Amino acid sequence: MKLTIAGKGIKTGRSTAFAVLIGLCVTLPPARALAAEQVRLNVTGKTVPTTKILAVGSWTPKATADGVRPVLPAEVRDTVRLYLDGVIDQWFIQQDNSGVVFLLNVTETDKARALLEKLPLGQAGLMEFQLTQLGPVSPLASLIGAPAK
Amino acid sequence: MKVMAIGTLKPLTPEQRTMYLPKEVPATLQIYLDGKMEQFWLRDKEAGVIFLMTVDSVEEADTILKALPLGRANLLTFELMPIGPLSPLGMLIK
Repeated sequence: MKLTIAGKGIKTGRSTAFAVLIGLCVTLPPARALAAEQVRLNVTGKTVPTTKILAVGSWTPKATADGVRPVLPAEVRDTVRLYLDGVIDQWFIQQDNSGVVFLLNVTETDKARALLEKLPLGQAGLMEFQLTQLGPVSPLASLIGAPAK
Repeated sequence: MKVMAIGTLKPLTPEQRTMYLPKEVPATLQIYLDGKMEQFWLRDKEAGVIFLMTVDSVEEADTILKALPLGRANLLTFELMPIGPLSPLGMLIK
């Protein structure tokens, strides 16, 4: 779902309903069964250390521009606090206003989820995050014949 | 914590390049693979390197970098700066 909060292009009426439909089609996560069947190919046989968590934040189906706007001032401040606390390493907004992307200095998914769910938009059920643990590009080890870990 | 490591390289003779670089490069990559080095750059004109380290302490960064072949040979020395979020941004949310 793409919400334009700051600009003038706030969709209303039928166009909102249409945008919601389109948004749902685009942002619905794949079914769990499908995810479980995805190939997880460990070419190197090494255990990759988790060094970061990629957090992709998307509007929930119930998010509307009018619902989000009053929450934003607190959201911005609490997000800055997460940055100042060293939790957020890098932060981006998706250019189409469909959400945010944070790179977190956190290695445990549970901890990251707890921190992000405490944000005002999370508390209000307006934004939800998809979390992915990240680590060094382990196949580079094949260049140096590094011992398996 | 993050440590910005600014490395200064002494000019290497061709013999030193042959002797050290084949070991230095894999050893550096291994630090990255271990999750201790986030980003790495070479300074212009091979003046040295800049590594952004994720470590528990400045001492850990120091130990890791001094163990590199060029570090052991005292050809590459590092200035280590602990760094963190831009705290003055906090002034904007008071």
